[in-house]
Amino acid sequence: MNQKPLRVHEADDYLETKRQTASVSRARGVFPPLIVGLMVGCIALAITELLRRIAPDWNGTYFLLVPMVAAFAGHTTYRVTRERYRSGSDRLRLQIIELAVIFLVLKAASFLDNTLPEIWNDIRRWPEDILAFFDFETLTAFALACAAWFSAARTARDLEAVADPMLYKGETGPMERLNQRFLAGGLILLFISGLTRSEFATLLEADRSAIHGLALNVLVYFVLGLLVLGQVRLTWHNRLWEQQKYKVSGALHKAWLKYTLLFLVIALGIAFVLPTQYTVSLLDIVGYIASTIGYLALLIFSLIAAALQWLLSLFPTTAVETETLTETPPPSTFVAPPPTVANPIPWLALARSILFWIVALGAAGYIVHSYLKDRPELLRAFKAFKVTQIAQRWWRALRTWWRDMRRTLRATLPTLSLNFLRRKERRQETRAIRRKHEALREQMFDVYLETLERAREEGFPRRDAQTPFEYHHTLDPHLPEAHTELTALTDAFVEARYSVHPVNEDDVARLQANARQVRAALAKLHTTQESKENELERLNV
Amino acid sequence: MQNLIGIVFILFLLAVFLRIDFYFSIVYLLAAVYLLARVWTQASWRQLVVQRRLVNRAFPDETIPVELVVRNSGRLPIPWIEVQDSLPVELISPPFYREVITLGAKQERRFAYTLACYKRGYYVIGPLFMQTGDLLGVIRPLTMRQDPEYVIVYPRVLPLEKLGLPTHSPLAVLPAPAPLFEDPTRIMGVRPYQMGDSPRRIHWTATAKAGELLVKRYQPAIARETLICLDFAQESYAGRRFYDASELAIVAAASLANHIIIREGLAVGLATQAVDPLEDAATAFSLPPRRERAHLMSILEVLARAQIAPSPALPFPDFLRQETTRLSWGATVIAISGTESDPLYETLAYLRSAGFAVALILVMPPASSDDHRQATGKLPIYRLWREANLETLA
Repeated sequence: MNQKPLRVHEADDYLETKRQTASVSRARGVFPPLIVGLMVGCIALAITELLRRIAPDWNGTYFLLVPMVAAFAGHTTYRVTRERYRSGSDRLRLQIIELAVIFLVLKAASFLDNTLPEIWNDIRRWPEDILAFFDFETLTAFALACAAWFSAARTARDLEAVADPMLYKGETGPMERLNQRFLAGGLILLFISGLTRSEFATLLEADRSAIHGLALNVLVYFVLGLLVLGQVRLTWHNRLWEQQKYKVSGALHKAWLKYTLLFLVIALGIAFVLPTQYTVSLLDIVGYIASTIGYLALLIFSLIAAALQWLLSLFPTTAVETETLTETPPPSTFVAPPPTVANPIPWLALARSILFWIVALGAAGYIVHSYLKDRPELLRAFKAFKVTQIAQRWWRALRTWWRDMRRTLRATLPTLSLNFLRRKERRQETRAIRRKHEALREQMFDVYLETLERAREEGFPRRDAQTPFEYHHTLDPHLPEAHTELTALTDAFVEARYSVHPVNEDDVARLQANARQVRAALAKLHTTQESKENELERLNV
Repeated sequence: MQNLIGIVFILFLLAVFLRIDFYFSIVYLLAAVYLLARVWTQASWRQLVVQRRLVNRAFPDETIPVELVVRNSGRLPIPWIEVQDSLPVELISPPFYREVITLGAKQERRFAYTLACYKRGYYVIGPLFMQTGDLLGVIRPLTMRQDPEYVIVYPRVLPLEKLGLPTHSPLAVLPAPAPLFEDPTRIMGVRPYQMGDSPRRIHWTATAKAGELLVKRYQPAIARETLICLDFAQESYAGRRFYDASELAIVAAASLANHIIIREGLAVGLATQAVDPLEDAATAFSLPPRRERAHLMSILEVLARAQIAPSPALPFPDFLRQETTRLSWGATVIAISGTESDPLYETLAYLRSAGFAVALILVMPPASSDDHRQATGKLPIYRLWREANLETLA
C-alpha cells in the first residue's frame, strides 16, 4: 500500500523526463541550425552591403540568401553524415559532393533574373571560355557559401561535443571554440559594417564627423549569439550534472531560457539607454574642466586683490603722495579674462558628453578592476611594473592627503564654529553687562545729583567750576555727623563718573545709603537752623 | 566568455577612435552582459539562506528525517544552484544528496531525505556545498559552504538479563542501597535519643537548644557509586571477531550505566581511553559518578563516539588505578575488557584490598580453566561471548 503512490510518482517522473528529452532533442534538431543560419545571415547582410558599394550591379538578395542556406545545409549535413557514415573517407566524399551541388545550385540561381535566350547563349559559351562558367560573381558567392558551410559544420560539431564529449574523445575545449567563433564572427561583422558605413578616405582623419545610426543586423547577431551561448552553457552543465549524478529540477530548462531572455533584454535596454554620441572628446572635456577651474581661481584672486586695493585706499596719504598718485594713471581693476574657448560649446552637448565619458570610463574602470580582482596572479604581475608602482605611490599619497585633510577639517571646523559661537556669546554678554553697568552708573549719578539738589536747597549750591572734591570740602564742615558718608558718596561718584571700573548693585546700594545719610544730615541741619531762627524770633519778640 | 573583457576594451577603443555609434551599442551590450552577470550573481548569492533541520540524537534502528531548506530571500532570481550534501555512508546510500534547482525571487525549496541509524557512532552530516554562476559563463562560479552538523547514534542498550549479567547487589557487582557502615565525620542530621544509643552520639549543642536529648545521624560510609572502566585498546580485542567484541563491550557498558541509573537510581561514572572523532586522537574520557538521567545521556554520547584506540596513553591496569584514585571508599568498580592478564588481575586485587567492590566483565569466549580467578580469590568475573549476545548487535 505504501509503495503504490511511489510507483505512480515514479511513473510521472519517467514520463515527464521522456517528454522533456523528446522536446529537447526536437529543439536540438531544428533550432541550432536555424539560429546559426540567422547569425550567418547577419554577417552576409553586412557583406552584401559592402559588395553593393563595390559592385552595384550584383544581385544583393542572392548574396544574402546563399550563405544562410549554406549554413543551414552545413549544420544539418554534418549531423546526418555523422549519424549515417562511420568512415571518414565516406564523409569527405559526401561533403565534396554537397559543395559541388551547392556550386551548381548557385550557378543555376545566378540565371534567375535572365531570360531563356540569355541563358542559352551563356551555356553555349562555356566550352569555349571556361571563365564564362566560373564567373567572378558565382565564385564570390560560392566562397561565401563555403565559408558559411564550414563554419556551420564546425559549430555543429562543437555543439555536439559540448553535449556528448564521448563522441570526440581526447578533444578539449568545444565551449571555448564556440565562444571564440562567436566573438570572431562578431568582430568581422563589426569591421565590415563599420567599413560599409564610413568613407574609406576619411577613416583616419581626426576631425571627421561621427557615424550615426544603428546596425540592426550587428545587434541581432550578438543577441542571438549570446542566446545560443546561454543554451550551450546549459548543455555543458547538463552533461556535468549527469556525470556527477545530480538530480536536475524539471523547471530548470525553462527557467534558464526565461532568465537568459530577461538578462539579454536588460542588457539591451542598458545598451539603448546609454549615450552613443559625444560632441566633445575626452581630452577637450578635461581641458575645459581645467580651464574652468583656472578661471575660478583667477576670479577668486582678482576679488582678493580688489579688496586689498580698497583697504589700501582707506589709509590717509600725503599731498605729495596724492599728487604723485594723481599723476600716475589709476590702477586698472584686475578683471579676469573670460575663458578662452575657441568654439563655444552648448551646455547640453557638453553635459551629454560628460555623461557619456563618465559612463564609459566608469564601466571600463569597473570591468578592468573586477577582471584583475578575479585574477590575482595577473594583478600581482601588473603591480610589479615600475610605472604602476609609481602610480600607486601617488595614489596612496593622494588618498593619505585627502584622509588627513578630512580629519583636519573634521577636527577644526567644530572648534572654529565653537570658538565663533563662544566669542559671539561673550560679546553679547559683554554688551548686556555693559548696558547694565551703564544703567547702574546712571543711577548713581542721579542719586548724587539729587543729593546736590537737596544741598542747594539747604543753601549749599555747587558752583559750576567746582569739582566734586572741592564741593565736598565746602559741604563737609557743615555736616560733621555725615562726614564719612559724604566722603564715601563723593568718592563713589568720582569713581563711577571718571573711571571704567565696573559698577554693581552693591555700589549703588551703598551710594544710596550714604546719600540718605547725607540728606538726613542736611534735613537735620535745616531743622536746627529753623529752631535757631524761631528762638531768635521769640527772643526778638 | 572569460576573454570578453579584452574584446570589450578593444571595441571601446575602436569605437572612440572611429566614432561609430553602433560600435558603442555593442560595447555597451557586452559590458552590460559582463556587469549584469557579475552584479546579478553576486547580489542574488548574498541573499541565499540555507538551513538544515534534523534531530541530531538517535538510538539504533531509528530514522532521522533531514530537511534542507534553501531560500532565496532576495528579489533577484537565481538561475541555477548546485546543492550537494555529503552524508555518511553508514547512514544513507549513496553517501551524498545532489540536486540542481532554480529559485525565483523570494522562493524556497525543501529537500528531504532520511538517515537510517543502524550503528552507533558519531557522524558528520555535510558540509553542504552550493555553487552557482551566471547563465553565459562570463564569471567564475561562486561557491558556498555550510558548516557540517553532527548526528550521534547512541549504542544499543539492553536489559542486563539479555547480556547474562546480574541485576542486583547480592552478586557484589552493584552497590548495596542499604548503609552498612556510617562515617562519623559526615553528619546527616539529628534524631531523638533512644535507649541504647551511645552517649558519644549525643549532639550536645542541639540538645541544649531543643531541651531534649538528640543524637547525631551519620551518612553511610560505603559509597553507593559505581565507575565503569572500559578497556578500548585495540590490542585488547585482537582476533577474528574484533569488531563484534569491541561493540559488545560498548553495549555492556551502556546497558550497565542505564541499569544503574534508571533501575537502581544510583550514581555511575565512566572512564575509558578511546579515539574521539571530534579530536581525531586518543582521548581519556573520565565522567565522574552521578545519578541524573542527563548524565546517563552524557555517558551514552561518549560511548557512541568512542572508537577503538590503537595506542592508548596508559595500559588498562594503570588507567584503572589512576581513575579510581578519585573514588570514595567502598565504591564499586566494574572493569570491562576484551582480554585478561596478570597485571589486570593484580590491579583488581589491589583495588579490592583498597576497599572497593570490584567486578570484571570479560568480552571473550569462556576459558577452559579459571586460573586467574583462582589466583585472585573471590573476584567476580563475568564473560560475554554468547552468540545470543552477539546477535543483539546485528
